[in-house]
Order: sequence, then C-alpha cells, then structure tokens
Amino acid sequence: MTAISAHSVRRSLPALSGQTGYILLLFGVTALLMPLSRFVSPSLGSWSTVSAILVISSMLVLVGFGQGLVILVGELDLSIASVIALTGVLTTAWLGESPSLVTFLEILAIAVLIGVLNGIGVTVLKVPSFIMTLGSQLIVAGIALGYTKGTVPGTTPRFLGDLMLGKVLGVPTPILLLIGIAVVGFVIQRYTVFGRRLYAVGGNRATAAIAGVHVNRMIVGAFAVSSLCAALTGMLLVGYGGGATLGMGDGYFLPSIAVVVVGGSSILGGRGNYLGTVAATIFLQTISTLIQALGISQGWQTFIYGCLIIAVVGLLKRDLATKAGRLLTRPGKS
Amino acid sequence: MRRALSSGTTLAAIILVAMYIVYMYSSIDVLTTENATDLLNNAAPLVISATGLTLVIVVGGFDLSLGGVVTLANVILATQTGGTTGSAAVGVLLALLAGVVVGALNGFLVAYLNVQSIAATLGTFIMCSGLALVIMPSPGGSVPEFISPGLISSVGPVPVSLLVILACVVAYLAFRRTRMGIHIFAVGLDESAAIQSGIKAAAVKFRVYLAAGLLYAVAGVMLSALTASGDPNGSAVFMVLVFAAVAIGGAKFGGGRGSAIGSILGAGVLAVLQKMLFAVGVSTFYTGIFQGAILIVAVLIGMISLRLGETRPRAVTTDQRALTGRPA
Repeated sequence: MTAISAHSVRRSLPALSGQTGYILLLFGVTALLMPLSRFVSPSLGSWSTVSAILVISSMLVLVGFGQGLVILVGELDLSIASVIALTGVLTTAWLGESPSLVTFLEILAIAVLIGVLNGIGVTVLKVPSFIMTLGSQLIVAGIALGYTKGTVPGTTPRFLGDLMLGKVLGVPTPILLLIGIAVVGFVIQRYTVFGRRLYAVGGNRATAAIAGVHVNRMIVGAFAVSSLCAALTGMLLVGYGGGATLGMGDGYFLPSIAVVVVGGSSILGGRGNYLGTVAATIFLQTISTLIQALGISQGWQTFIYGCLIIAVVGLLKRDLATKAGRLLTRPGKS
Repeated sequence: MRRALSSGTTLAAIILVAMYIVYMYSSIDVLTTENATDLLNNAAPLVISATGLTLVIVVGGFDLSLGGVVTLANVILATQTGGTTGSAAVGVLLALLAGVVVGALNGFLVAYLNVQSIAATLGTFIMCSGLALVIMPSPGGSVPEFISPGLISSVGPVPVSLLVILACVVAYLAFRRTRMGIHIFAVGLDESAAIQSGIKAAAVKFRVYLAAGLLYAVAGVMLSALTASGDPNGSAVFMVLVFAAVAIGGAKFGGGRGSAIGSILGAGVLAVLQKMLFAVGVSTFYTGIFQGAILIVAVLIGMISLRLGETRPRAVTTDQRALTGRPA
C-alpha cells in the first residue's frame, strides 16, 4: 500500500513542479532577453521598450485567457478574430459619441451570445469546434462587413483612449491591467469551482459527468467567456489604436492559440496553467519586438512563430520541457 | 434505400443535382459551354484539395496546413517573372516541391513524433503563411501564361479543369483498391487493431500527409490559374470551403469513414452555390455569412446521414469486415 501511494505521489509531484519550472523558464528567458536585446539595437532594452512590450501584451493576454479556457475543455475557438472586429466596430459606432453603461453591456451581451451559440453548436449539435467556430467566424465577419458596408462609422470613446494611453503613478495603465488580468485569470482558472470543473471536463468528460459536472454547460461557459474576452480585447484595441477596422482582429487569431500552446497547455485539454499563457505572451511579444528591431520582415516573424509552436508541441510531447523544468526547480536531482 | 441515403456520397450527389436545378432556373444562360467551363474551373482547386484532405481525415487526422500550402504555391508561381514556358515549369516544380516538403514535415510530426494533428498542422500553416509573406510581401504579380489562362482554357472541346477533376476521380477509385488504400481505412477505424494486424500505421500516416501536401500544391497551381495573380493572405476562405466540401461529402471527422468522391461532389455543391448566389444577386458583403452557414449546415447534414447509417448494424462494408476480422 505504502509503495503504491509513494509511487503515485512521486508521479504527480514532478509533473506539477515540471510545469511550474517550465513557466519559470519562460519568464526567465524573457527577463534575460530584454536586457540582452541591447546588443541587437541600443534602443532596445530600455524601460520604454519594455513598457511598450507589456502594453501590447495586455490585449493578447486577455484573448489568451478565453482561448485557454476553451482549449482546457479540449476545444478550439477560431471565431475570436471576427468577434474582436465586430465589437470594435460596435464600440466606435454605438459608444463613440455618447458612452453609456447600457450600450457597453449590450455590446458585451452580443459577444456572449456568439459564444453561447458556438457552445451550443459544439455540445448539443455536436459539430466539431473548429468547424463550428470557423463557420461563426465567417458569419460574424460577414455581419461586421454588412453592417459597416466597408467603412467603419463613429469615433473612439474617450474613456477607452484614456484607459489605454493613460498612466497611474507613472506606470501605463495597460500594464496594471495586464497584472490584474494575470492574477484574476490565474485565480479563476485554478481556484474557482468554474475553473476546477473545466479541468475536470478537459481531463475526462465521462468521469466529469459521473462526478456530477454539467459537462455541456461548462463547455458553453468556456466559449461564452472566450467571446467575452475577445469583445473586451476589441474595446481595448479601439482605445489603443484610436479607432476600429474590419481587420483589427486578424492579428489575434493565430497568436491566441500560439500563446496557450507555447505556454505549456495541452492542446488536447485538461492540462494548463494560465501563468504559462501570460509568460508565453510576453515572451513571444519580446521576440517579435526583437525581430522587428533586427529589420526582419513580418513574414519571417510569422515563420518563426510557426517554428516555435512546432518546437514547443514537439518538445512537450517528448516531455523534454518537463525535464528542463525539473532541472530548474530541483537542481542535481534529475 | 436507407443504406443509399446513409452514404455521404449519395447525399452529396442528391444535393448537387437539386442545387443545379435551382441554379438553372435562376439564370437563363447556365447551360452555355462558357458557363459550364467557368463552373468547372471554379470547382477544380476545391476538388483537388478536398481529395487530399479526405485522405487525411480518413486516416484520423486533420490538416490545417492546406491553406498554407495553397498560398505558398500561389506566391511561388506569381513571382516567376521569366514569362516563358520554362520558367512556368520551374515555378510549378518549386510549388509541388513546397507541398511535398510541408506534407513530409506534417507526416513526420504526426506519425513519428505523435504530435496532435491540429497542433502540428497549425504550426506548419503559420510557417507557410510566413514564408508566403517573405516571398511576396503584398498581393500582386502575375502568373506565367502557361498557367493562366493555360489551365483554365480547353484542350479541343474539353476544359483542362474537367480533365483534372476526372483524373482525381479515377485516381481515387484506383487508389481505394490498392493495399495502401485499404490500410488508411484500417488505421483510421482503429489504429491499435491495425498495428496488431501487421499494418505499419506510422508509415501509412506519413504517406497520407505527404500525398495530401502534394495535392494541396496542385490545387494551389489550379487556383493561381483562376486568380492569375498572387496573394499572400488569400487562402482563409478557400480553406473553409474545402472543409465544407469534405463535410458535405460525408467524411467522418475522427477517421475511418469518408470518400473522396463524396468530397468532390461536395466541392461541386459549393461551386454551384457561389454561382447561384451571384446569379440571384446577393451582395458580396454577405457571401461570408452564407459560406459560414453552409459550413455548419453541411456538417450537420453529414452527421444526420451518418446516424441514419448507424441505425442498421449490418451496414458494415466488405472492406471493413475484412479489416477488423469480424465474421460476416
């Protein structure tokens, strides 16, 4: 008996510390990259560059949270790019001149509705999630295009501009937002009943159902949160960029999946840590800033993104990352 | 009757005929040779990629790299500036090579490293999109004359695209009867059972991804003939249409069931639909809404037809019986 329990403890412990180690590794590499990037270009590595990286990360971190929850239950949400665009368009069109709380909530409700429909398609109609969300991506993009007829009306609401470009005690507000999202997201995913049930559903649906978890409701919930996060990101982007465009979400479609996967979550669901997503977001943004400073084109940047994803899924599969993490957290014991 | 309905191929054929009849009523000049050629030209790239994707889906995988390879082939052709048939041939060879390389990478990752196919091909898709942007940073250029209008014109009275579509049909029907053709269904149905009966599942999967990569590249060449120029970010909608074609054709996501013939008919349905929307005068602003709705409805139809098939336990084909070793 003791042998069995000792064995199971040993089996579960390294797995946990390995994941934590991997996240620490990502943060560490990023922290090293920032000062070292001065060798590439003297303008890099300064506080203003670091703060610019963190400001941009604040939006991807938010999309990554929603996508992460959907991936956690073993699905994928490919509709976020057009949800970002639609909410961005509605934000300038409806909120621009006369901001009101009701309109604000209406826009978020539309996004949640899209998420709920995605979830119902996946659970009740049993359409594979990438098909369902690819379909809704096309439909929502079509609605945004049809509504605007190609030109986006309205202006940026002032409060969003103030939020994304302002400072509190000398620190840009988006950085405080980033820290807030990271903490809240981590707590929701790890310590709330909702988050824990999502892990259960992602780990094994049949077991979760037997344990009394409403599997379908959880999956619908994950899609709803993902859409909500995309909508909030759309609003932040309007504030940050000073307007909305129909293509404003395109740059978030693949990176939202990339940050979750590079952050160490399993694409099959059931395993993942939101802090990994946060680390991966800042890491990838640092890399892309570096690449831009090197004068490498957008194309190579995308190419390197792809290579990173393949490298990470390949590595995680072979548990090399876990081993690397173990080396880091428990030196001399591997 | 039920057996026939449960086959995705039959269902796709019925939808195609019904849609074509509606289309004929929507416009007077549907039956002209010009219009028919146009329809075949539109369908050809979809048909070729759908054939490749069906193989991957039958073997139990999924392939997002399709859009990347198509784009890559397109920009490679659009940057061939020689203008001669020689430079066109070089372009086509390079495009096909790119497809084979990407297919091999997918196959290696999925078959030998056991990476989940969606994750692996998402990676290669992003890589291809990046490379396409490197080769051609902004839309434009023109493809060699040998490709466009060469591949969308006719050899005598027969359109080139009809020959290409027929080649896909014949090749698939022949392939299905080969040892490899049977093995892909075995691996897709039950991989461990297939391995136990002596099939080298990894090798089968590797070759399927390789062949699919090559087919996507060919589709990219045919698509370039249609667009006549290069576009480094033009494949998203095309990719969705291919998914929809395969879904209408009744292939089962998850593996073990599907037919390229069904997918080819599904591609036909979508090509007719595009023409019909245009003929009826639906604004291009709303095309996306239709395509998205069709994608979801297509998968639903596919699932309903599968369920119809499952109500009859004896609806196991001879092939499957031979594979699983179950007595008849």
